[in-house]
Amino acid sequence: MPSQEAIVVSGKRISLVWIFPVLALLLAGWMLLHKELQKGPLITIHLENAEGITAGKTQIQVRSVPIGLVSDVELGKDYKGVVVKARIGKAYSQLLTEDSRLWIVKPRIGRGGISGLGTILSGSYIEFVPGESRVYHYEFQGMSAPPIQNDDGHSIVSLESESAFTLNVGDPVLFRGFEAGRILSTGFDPDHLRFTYTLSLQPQFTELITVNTRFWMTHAVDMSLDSKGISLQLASLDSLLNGGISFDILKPREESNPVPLDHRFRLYESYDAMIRQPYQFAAHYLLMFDNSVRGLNVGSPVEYRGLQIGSVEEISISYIEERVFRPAEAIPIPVLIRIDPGRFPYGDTQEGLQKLMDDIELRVQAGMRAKLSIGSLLTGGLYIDFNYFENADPVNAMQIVAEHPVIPTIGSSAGEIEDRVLSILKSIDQLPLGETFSDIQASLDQMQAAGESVRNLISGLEPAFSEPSTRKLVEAFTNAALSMNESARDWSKHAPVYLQLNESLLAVRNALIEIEALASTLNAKPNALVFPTSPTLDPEPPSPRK
Amino acid sequence: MQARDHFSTAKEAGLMLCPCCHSIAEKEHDICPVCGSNISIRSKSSIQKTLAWLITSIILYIPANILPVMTTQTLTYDSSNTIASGIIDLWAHGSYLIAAVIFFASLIVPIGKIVVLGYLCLCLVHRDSISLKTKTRAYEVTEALGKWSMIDVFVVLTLVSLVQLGHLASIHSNPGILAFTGVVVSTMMAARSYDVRMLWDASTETTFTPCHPKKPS
Repeated sequence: MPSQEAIVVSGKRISLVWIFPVLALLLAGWMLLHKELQKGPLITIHLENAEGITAGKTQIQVRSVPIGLVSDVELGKDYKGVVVKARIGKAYSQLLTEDSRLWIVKPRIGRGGISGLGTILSGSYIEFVPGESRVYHYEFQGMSAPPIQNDDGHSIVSLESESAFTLNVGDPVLFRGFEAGRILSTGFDPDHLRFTYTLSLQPQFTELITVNTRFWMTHAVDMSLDSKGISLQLASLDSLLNGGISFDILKPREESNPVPLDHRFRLYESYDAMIRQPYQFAAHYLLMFDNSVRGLNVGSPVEYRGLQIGSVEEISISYIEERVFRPAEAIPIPVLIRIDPGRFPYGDTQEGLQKLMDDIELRVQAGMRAKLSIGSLLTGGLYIDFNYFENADPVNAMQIVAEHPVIPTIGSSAGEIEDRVLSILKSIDQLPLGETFSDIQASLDQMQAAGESVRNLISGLEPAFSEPSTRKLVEAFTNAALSMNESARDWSKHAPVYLQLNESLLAVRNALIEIEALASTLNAKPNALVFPTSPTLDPEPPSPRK
Repeated sequence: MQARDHFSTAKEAGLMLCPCCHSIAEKEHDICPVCGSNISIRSKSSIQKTLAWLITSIILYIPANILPVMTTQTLTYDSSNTIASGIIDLWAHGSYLIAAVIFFASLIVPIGKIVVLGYLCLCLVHRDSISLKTKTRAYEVTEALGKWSMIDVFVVLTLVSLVQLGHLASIHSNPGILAFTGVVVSTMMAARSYDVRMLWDASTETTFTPCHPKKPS
């Protein structure tokens, strides 16, 4: 019995096996702690809908690296939108800055190309683009569409246009056909009634963005028919499908100044529109014409001694103030023109615009006036010509009508012009060209008849010549014929028909020479018919830099 | 019951069984005279070992069920499953039989073993009304079923080694399966440590106390 008790005592020793529960406790504790430590923050994402999002399956990815997992998907407050909760890995918690952007990546076939093909099989995921901010945030608003990645070094350019073009986020921006960037965003500015576009350009194109850069809509197919024939231009296939924006520089680079950061470029509707009016800044002036402006169109040139300095913006009676508008009096026709500082050495900038306006004021005081002139005799198109007139009424300060300064005009009765043109045309019409031509025709007919009779005569004589017995006779006849020939020549030379023909032809020739002279005169100086051609009178304009 | 009236235990007869060569030795021996193994009347500190292993298994049972055991990556999805979510997934996909087998082998059996062994340990201290035969049967069933819990571990191991098709499909094991293996191993160890013969002693004490004085003589 004592020996048995001894065994019992030894059995009460604490066995080494207790190390296992301790180990298990440590292991389980570490496992659970590790999991808990790795959990990271829980973020909330507000989305429009949760298409393709599954709790526990959908990942949050940054550059295709999973950083978290969606843990819960539920409807938002008032059942508007979707609230997605996601657990972000602990190591990535510093990515959760307040300006981060998130959106659902799913297969999209859009204007920016096909994206997210991989998600057809793998299912959607949420792309996360960390922001620059240092302020951490755990609640995000998901974007409905992926933004165009604006990588480092890309420059941002703002455009505006008065009418909306079919442009979408992601559409290409081309420089001479080379894709230089993409459209980042489109929008509308209600204050200025302008559509706005933001572009992202690759770094190597940054230097091209100056005051001389022009942007216009790329038209996929550009067909034009002109005197050279039909020309067809195709843009790149991408823009053929999508359209897009092209840009180029107007002048060599050394002349250009960088643009201010908030500069908004104008987006032209086409390349042609850009070439017609490539300047951004313009001084607007109002011209009051007493005579008819028929033949003057929007876009008609404004010239200074034949050099284009601007164009007609608008012709509208609405610029006249109501108190001036009296039914009893003849009212002048207001024409709004723009003068582009970019066409002058001032440069297409705000300062240039100011300089130009100061300059024009000085010039108007020195006697510069606007005048309607005939641009084309055939179409009757008019243009506005600036020149100096000594007999102009002196102007001290420019009048302002409807917020636009008014440049005084010099009357040139458009009716007079029309009359002169008509009379010229009439006199051309009255030239006896028809008679002359019928005379020529008659002479030619007579000549033909004479020739015919001579031939008949000769063919009648032929059998007599062939007989040998009449050889002598032939000789005699030959002589007779020779003499007859001579006489025929004489006859033809001095025939009245021939004289008359000659005279008529000379008359035609003289008439044509005169018309040609008239035409070339008109070509050189269209107002030659109205004004005396004596080369005098125009005073030299004072040089701007004296 | 009646059998126990006629048969006494080997302990009472002063004999013990060598656990190694199954030869019977006198209780004076410390070492089996046949094979030289350590022998004793009853396994030394059996309850202690059993309890230690049971506690180990209970502790490990928590991470085994909370942590994922397996991550499945295919083209279409990527998911980590715990044992329970795996069973739910299988059930949801219509694999009712497999779901039931895994449910039984991985969830019920470990719990059952822990409960049964814990109860059997309790029986050694406190008397109860359940018959010795039932308890012995329960122990036998527990020991026999214990290894089947490894089915889940084998499933995971087989899948991990077989399904490595790169992007198409791949399966990785997760820490949960380690904990689960620990649960299975420790319950098996607990069952092994439990000396079922102690039940006899206990039941002898309870049932045959009146008869007891005559036995040692």
